[in-house]
Amino acid sequence: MTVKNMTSRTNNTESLEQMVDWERGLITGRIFVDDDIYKQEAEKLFLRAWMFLAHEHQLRDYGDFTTTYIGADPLLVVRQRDGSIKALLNACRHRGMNLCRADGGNAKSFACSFHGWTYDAAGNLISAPNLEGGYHGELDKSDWGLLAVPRVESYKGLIFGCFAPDAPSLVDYLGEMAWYLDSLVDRREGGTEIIGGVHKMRIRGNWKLAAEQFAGDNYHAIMTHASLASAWADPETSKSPGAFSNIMALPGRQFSSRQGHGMAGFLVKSTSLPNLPGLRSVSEDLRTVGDYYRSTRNEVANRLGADRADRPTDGAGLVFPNFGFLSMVLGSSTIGVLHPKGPNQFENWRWCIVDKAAPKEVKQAMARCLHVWPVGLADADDGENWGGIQSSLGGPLVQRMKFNYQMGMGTEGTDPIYPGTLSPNMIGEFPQRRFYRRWLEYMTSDNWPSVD
Amino acid sequence: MICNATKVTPQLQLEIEQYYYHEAELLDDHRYEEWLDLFAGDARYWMPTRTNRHLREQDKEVSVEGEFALFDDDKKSLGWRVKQMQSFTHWAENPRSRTRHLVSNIRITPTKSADEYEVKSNFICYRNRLQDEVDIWAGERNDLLRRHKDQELQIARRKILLDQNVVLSKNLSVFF
Repeated sequence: MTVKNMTSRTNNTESLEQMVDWERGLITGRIFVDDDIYKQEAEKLFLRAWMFLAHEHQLRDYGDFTTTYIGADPLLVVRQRDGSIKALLNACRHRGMNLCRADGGNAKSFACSFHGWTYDAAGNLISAPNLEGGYHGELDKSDWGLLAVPRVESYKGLIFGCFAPDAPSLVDYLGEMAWYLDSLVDRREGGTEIIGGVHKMRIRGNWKLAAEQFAGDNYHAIMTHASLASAWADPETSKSPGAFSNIMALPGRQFSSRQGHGMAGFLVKSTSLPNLPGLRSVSEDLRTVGDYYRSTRNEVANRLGADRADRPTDGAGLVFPNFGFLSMVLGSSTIGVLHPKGPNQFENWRWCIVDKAAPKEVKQAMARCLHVWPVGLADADDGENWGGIQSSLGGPLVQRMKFNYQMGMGTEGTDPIYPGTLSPNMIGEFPQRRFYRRWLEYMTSDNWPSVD
Repeated sequence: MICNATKVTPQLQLEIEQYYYHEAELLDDHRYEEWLDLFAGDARYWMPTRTNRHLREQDKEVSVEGEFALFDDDKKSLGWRVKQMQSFTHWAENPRSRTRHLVSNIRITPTKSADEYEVKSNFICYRNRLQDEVDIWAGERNDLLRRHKDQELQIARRKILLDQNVVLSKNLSVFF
């Protein structure tokens, strides 16, 4: 299907290229609501990009499994006997029944509740009732294993899957982003673990609204999260360390990679979030976490070098297209994935990620600091905004409207320390523009959109 | 002994019911500071997550101590949430949601301490927001109620089991 055909079916005179005018910072609202664009994303983006599946800590032993999605397709991710990981389409080959209906656990085989076709942990069909009598011995079980994600690779505990044979390896796909991710997943010997459990929340908004925010939108924090300052204000002085309008004025950077990954953070030693003097007074937990980051500085410097030890890449980031993370922000680090549920809804899945080597009391303090994020002081207002945008996109006028992505145009360049393309401050919209540039390349190319 | 009916006086049942009705009124009337005053200084307000499990692993259905929780607050952080609710820039609650907290199935178990009661209750919270947004949350609360200075009851501990796997609302900018 060509782009031209697709857009004509939506009775829209604009092509995708016209809707996503990233060079001029103009994006048409329709890309957030259009059913045909969503279907196109399902094929051209989600089935071709590297998509986050799980953290290895969720799958420690043979038979440990978790269920997730690539785009809208359900997956079963299983640790194998040999220690490798398989990602299988969670749909029985017989009638497509949702094979495993648990979120996670341990199982060595999976039996379909419909007719009983049963698969082993590798997805091989191992038995089916009436196999000999019903199929006259002619059903070759080896032809009817679960469909598998052909490529599953890990980067320091983060497992990704990809359906595209012509996509680069995961580490090449991450490119410069790996340098930034290391500050989250490779600070200490032993890497990271998740503290157990996942938070899932259904949002009435298009997944890209959240993705672009992870990629580079620090700008929103000033207004969206203004009430965090009220919450943390000192009752006597009314001064608040949570005042994002002040934090935003601090030096920082925005990063964007040609693959569409992005990050916006503070990136400067003296003002890194764990050490902000005002924040330390908010709670004992924030102090504990700040002290922990300081006490591990030398170990980080030995592993990652002084640049990343002294200029921690803390902030929000996105591995294109839908793996979002918050690294060392306000006491905790979270990783997560934005699962699209049609054009008008997505699910925001979050895990709390900690250094495996961190003391137990530090991990517990970090977990408690989650009251800022997943259902807490900050995210409640993000949900309101994402839902509000979707709500106003109900009519043709707003759908035709050009949204403004023009902040900080022309300021990006290179930096002596930070790899990739950087902007010289932490507020701007160039990672978002480049997110949509990459999105457009996936959506409009027949072959895997190579950037070389 | 199937239930605690013989250990709980009608007077105590009535008192705790009325206490919860009062609490629901404070929440539905957005009197959050008065609501916060119901909690003891050492209170914990905890809502674990719920996962779908194969029945043989049903014991892992509710997340445990130290795992991801939807709420894990002490009175101080609960106080932050209350202050945020009163801020004019908490967009999730400005304009205000309309809520109705219904509390029922109140089951009281006396403890070894004469001043403390383990109390389970079920709730439904209905939220209507802006033009047409509706959320309905159901669940169970496990409270430890403590009689403060021989008089008022306080909530010393609350564990909330929200009957949802994926949280189906765009936020949880409510209290339960």
